[in-house]
Amino acid sequence: MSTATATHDDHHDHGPAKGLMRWVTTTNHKDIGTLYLLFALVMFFIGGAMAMVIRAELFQPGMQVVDPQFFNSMTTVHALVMIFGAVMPAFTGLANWLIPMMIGAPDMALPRMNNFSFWILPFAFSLLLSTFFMNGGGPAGGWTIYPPLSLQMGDGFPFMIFAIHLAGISSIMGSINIVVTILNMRAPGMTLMKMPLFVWTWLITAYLLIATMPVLAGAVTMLLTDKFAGTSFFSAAGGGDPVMYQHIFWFFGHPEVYILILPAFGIVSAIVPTFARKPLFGYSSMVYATASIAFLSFIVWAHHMFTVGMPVVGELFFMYATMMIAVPTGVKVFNWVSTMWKGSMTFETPMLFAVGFIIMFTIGGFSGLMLAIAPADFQYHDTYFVVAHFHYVLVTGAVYSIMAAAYYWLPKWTGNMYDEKLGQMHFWISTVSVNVLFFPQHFLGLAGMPRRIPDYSVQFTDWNMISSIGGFVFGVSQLMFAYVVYKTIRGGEKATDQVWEGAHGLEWTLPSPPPYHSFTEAPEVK
Amino acid sequence: MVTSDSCPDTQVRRVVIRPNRSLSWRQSMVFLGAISVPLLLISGVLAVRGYWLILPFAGLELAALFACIYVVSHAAQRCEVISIGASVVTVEKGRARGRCDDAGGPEERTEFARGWVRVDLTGVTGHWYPRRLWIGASGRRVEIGGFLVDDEKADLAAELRKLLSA
Repeated sequence: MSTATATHDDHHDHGPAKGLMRWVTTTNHKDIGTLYLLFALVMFFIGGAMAMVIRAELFQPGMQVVDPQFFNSMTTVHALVMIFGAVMPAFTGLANWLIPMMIGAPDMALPRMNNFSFWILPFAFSLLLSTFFMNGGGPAGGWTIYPPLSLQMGDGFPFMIFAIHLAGISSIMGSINIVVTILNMRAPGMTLMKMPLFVWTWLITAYLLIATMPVLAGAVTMLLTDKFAGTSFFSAAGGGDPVMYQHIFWFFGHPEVYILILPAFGIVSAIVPTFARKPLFGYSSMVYATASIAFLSFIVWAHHMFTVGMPVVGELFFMYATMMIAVPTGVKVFNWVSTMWKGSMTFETPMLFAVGFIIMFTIGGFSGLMLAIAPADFQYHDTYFVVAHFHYVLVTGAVYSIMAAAYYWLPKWTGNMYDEKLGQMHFWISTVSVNVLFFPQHFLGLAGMPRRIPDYSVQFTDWNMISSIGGFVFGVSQLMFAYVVYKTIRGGEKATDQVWEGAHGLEWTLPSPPPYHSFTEAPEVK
Repeated sequence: MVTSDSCPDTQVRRVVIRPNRSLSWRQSMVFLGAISVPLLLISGVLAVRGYWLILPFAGLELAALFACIYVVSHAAQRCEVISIGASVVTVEKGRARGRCDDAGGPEERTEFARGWVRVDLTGVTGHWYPRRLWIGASGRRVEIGGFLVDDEKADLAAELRKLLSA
């Protein structure tokens, strides 16, 4: 026992530090959430610019814009940037902003680690993008980094691996923080089965991240030692097994797909009831469906590699296991539709994006079911059909949910209403153009156009031209989103605390914008 | 969370303040186990097959997760006990449970003469930073309830003032 030193403390209340150092040193969950979201937006435009290069090159057959090596770098880094730099940080930003407010906590459980986990990211992606200026250029073997192709990369290879490690460390720290916050810092009365679904989906996402990130870290480190330390983990010449890399990668990679989509389910589950003015249909089944999807995500990885040559029993197992995912996913879609059924629906921009998500994510889900059929997958594998499938899941799925979330919570974050007219224009232009962009890619894939090629046979020209036009319009339309965000931050009609009349949840009991530290008054959880 | 009671043998009024914690240590360990088992299982299987580099990453990550859960759980077990006796007010801080018969005792202990004790609640609700609650006398004071939200601090301040004036 020690006797406390009683102190005189002339504490004066003051706001956050001013200037740049506020953002560098902040431990506040809202500041860090804002940093994550802005970082994700910047990376979205960087990755989007790469997509524009890809679509410009594919506008017509032949080589027009870039050389094949650079084209391959574009496809590879576009994927890495969009997955690890845009979508994941955007969801982490939303988690930072919303989870403490939704569970009635004053901040994240580990605020300093929160700061650190964000500030790793700019270094990680600067490192990744710097590989373009190195001997041999940027990574060009695909985002999956399959050996032996990836081992032929130039000087940038170790930097890419290090960048992936840094992004992984950031993700792990962010996930641990989220898990600890959700489990330990819920307000009295906020039992697990009272948590908003966004919190639930993030808890399960964080579980997936923690469970799979070491697998990726180990896999890319073994690539590194194969290249520089003379090991032969994946080198057939040295007795290693390159196919084993694919197994290990996809053991991480498939849960990663759900890491990119589960928080989206949570967002849509918050928005649909608000604008349908009805409680979410089947809350418990949504929780169990999310957990089921997470479990199944661990046992379906080999559907990404049906064509490598595996026993028929293995193909059957992975085929049926993959198809089983349609059941909990179907439960979710059914519940969202049932929530809307006979609701007093209005279609403000967040709802438009949420409904767009439900429809177009379902299209991506159905094409996923087609790909799950092992014998049919031999036709679709590595074609544009796969590209169309995962872009329907990740763009009209994950990205649309992030857009919906931004429009939904932006008035709460900034205290200002966004420009509804511009928001609706953004939605409609995006939705038309994104379908012009990706839907024809199904036809290209079914006709046999391989993915990751800078040139193609002339019979694919028309659909590629149409797809590219859709891509350019979609790309430009996202500038509208950036403008709407900027305009809302700068000012506009003042938002009420409730913002949306049908919204429920603790975050809506806070003022708009909320105070620097949430819940200066104890929340009541009913 | 604020609870108050009185020890019948000494007639000391006692206010116990603890942070909210929504998961017990045992539940935290169950969660840690639920993550560790599948991760160590797959890492172990791959290690046996020669792909051993995943195992150290898994170990490092689980160690980090355990450390974070431990730090937060440890912080959530803080406890402050304010005992208001006939002539002395005692503020004890530590991780003890705050009952009258606690073994081990508090980590910090400060005593004030009851007649001079003041309770000060500084700051404004809804401002950037949370309000702070102080108890002290004769130019010395200690902060209490740093982990409480503002209205809990306000309620506690009111209760302490009432008990002190009784």
